[in-house]
Amino acid sequence: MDEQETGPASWQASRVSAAAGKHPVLPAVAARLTSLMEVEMMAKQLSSGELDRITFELLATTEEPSE
Amino acid sequence: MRVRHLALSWFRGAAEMAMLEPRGRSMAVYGPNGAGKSTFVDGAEYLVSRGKIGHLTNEYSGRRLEKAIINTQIPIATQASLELMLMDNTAVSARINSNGAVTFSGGDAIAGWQRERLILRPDEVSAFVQADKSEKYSSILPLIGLGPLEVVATNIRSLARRVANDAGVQRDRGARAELETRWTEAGVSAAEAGILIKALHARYLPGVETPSTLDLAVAALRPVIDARVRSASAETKEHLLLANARDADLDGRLAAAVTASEATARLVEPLLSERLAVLSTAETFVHGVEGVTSITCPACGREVEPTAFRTHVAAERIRLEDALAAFSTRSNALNSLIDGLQTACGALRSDDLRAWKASSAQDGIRPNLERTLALDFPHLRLHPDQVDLGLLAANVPPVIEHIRLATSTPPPEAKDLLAASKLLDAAAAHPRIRQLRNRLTKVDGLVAFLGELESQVRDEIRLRTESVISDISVHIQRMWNHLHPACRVNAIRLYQPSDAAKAIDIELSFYGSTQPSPRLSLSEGDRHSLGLCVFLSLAK
Repeated sequence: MDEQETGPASWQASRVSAAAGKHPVLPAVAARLTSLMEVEMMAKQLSSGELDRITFELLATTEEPSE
Repeated sequence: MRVRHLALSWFRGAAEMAMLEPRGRSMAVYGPNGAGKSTFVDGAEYLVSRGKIGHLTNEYSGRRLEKAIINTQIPIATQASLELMLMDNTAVSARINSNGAVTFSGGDAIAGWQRERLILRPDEVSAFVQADKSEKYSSILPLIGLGPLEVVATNIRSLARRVANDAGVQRDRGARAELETRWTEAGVSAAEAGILIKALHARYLPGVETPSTLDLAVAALRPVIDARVRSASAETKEHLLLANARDADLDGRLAAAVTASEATARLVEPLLSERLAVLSTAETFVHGVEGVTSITCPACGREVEPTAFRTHVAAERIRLEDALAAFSTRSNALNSLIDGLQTACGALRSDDLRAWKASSAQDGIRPNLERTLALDFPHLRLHPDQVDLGLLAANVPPVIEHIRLATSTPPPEAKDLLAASKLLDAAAAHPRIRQLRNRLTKVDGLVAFLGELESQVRDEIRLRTESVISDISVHIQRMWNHLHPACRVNAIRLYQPSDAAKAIDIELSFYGSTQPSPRLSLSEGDRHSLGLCVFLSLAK
C-alpha cells in the first residue's frame, strides 16, 4: 500500500479553515497552524521544548496591545 | 521496487552461499522445519533494520547479535555476508565480522523501507487478530500510510493542553479571580458600577461635574474617601480595619490551599519534571530503535511495544503535565492565601487597633492572633511552599470568627465608608479585569480552536482509513474464500467501530450471525489464517 498523498493544496489548510469556522482565530494563527501541520507536526511527535516554543508563539498573538 | 535476489553466506541457517531468486515475482517458499526458510526473512530484516532482528534481540544473542546471526560452522577468518539486489540492479549488502561488527554498503537502494511493512512473523499475525480494537488501529495505521496524520492529531492535542496549562495563563486566571472577588465583596455587579460610582461622586463631591470615565471618577473619589476615613472616629476606624481583615476571605483561601495541597500531597514536583525531561530524551531515543521486541518506558517502567512507544510517551507526557498543572493550582492557591493574610495582618497590625488588641475581650483569641501576626511575609513571598497550613488552620479561623462577631453591628458612618471604599477598590480593578478577561477569552478560543482542529484531523484520518480499509476488505474476503471455500465464516471486513475514536476491528459473519470481532468465535487456526489474509491484503 502506497503512502497517502497529502496533496499540494493541502488537506491541512481546509481542516484548519473548517476549525476556524467554528472557533474563529486570527488569520496569522490559522496560517501558522497550517504550516506546522504540513511540516513539523507531520514529521514527528513534538518535543517538550518545541511545544513550549509554539505555545509561546501562539499565546503572544493573544496579548493586548500596550495601553 | 521488487527483489531480484537475496544472497546469504554464513548467516543464520545459511552456510556457504544460499540464494533466493524471485527475479521480481512473488514467491512462496516451503520446506520442512529447520530447512532455512526463515533465514531469508531474517536476512531481509537484518538489512532493512540496519543490523537488528527483533525476535533475536535477547540476553543470549550478544550486543550485536553475533551469537545468533553468524552460522556456528563458519570457517575461521571468514565473514558472514548478505546481499539484497533489486530489479534495477541496485543492491544493499552487509559484511559481518566474528564480533558482530557490520559494514553496510548501498543502503540507498532500500532507504525508506519499513520493517513493519516488510516483515511479518506468525506470532505477530496471531497477536494482531487477538488484539483489541485500539491495538489493531495502532498496528494498521502506519501500514496504510496514515501514521503521520495520527502524529499530527497527537501533536495538536499536546499543544492544546500546553496552551491551556501554560503558567502565564494560569497566573492570569488567578489574578482575574482575585480581582473579581472585589466585586463580590462590594456586593455589586460590574454592570452596576457606572451608576453606583456616579451616585457616590454626587454624594461625596456635590457640585463637582462627574468625570466622563469610570477610571477618572475613581481617581477623583479615592482621596476624598481616604480623608473621611482618616478623620473618622476611633470606633469607625477600628471597625473599618477589622472589616478589612474580616473580608480578606481567609476561610475560603485557606480551604482552597488545603484542598490543592492534598491533591498534590502524593506527587513530587521535581520527580515529575525529571520524568518529563527523560521522556523528551526518550522521544529522540525511540527514533533509533528498530527491531526490538519491547522497550521499558523510562517514565513508568512498563514494557511497551516499539510501535506503541511513541503513543505511550505522548500519553505519559499528558499525564505528567496534568500533574504539574495540579502543582500550579496549588501554587496559585498558596499565593492567594498569602495575599489575603497580608491584607488582613496589615489591617490588624495598625496602631488604630492597639486598644482593641489590648482589650480583655480579645483574651480568648490572643494566642491565635499573636501567631497569625507573627507570620514573616517577606520570607513567605519567596518560599510560598513553606506556608504552614496546619498552623494557619488552627489559628486563623478563630480570629476571623471573633472579628466577624465584633463587626456585626457597624457604626453608621463606618458602614457607608466601607461600602464606598469597597466600591472604589472594585471599580479600580475593572480595567485590569477587562484586560485579563479579553486575553483569557482569546486563550479559551485558541484552546477550543485546537480542540476542533484535532477533531478535524481525526475526521480526515477516519475518512482516509475508511476508504483504504474498504478496498482492503475486498481482498481479505477474496483471499479467505480461496483458503476456506464454503466456510462458515464469511462477510469479513475491516471497520471502524463508532464507539471509539481510534479503533479498527474485523467484522465477520459466523454461521450467518454478524460478529463485531474475530475474538468471539474463531478457532486458533482460523485466527492465524485471517491475520495472514489481512496482512497480505495490506501488502497488495
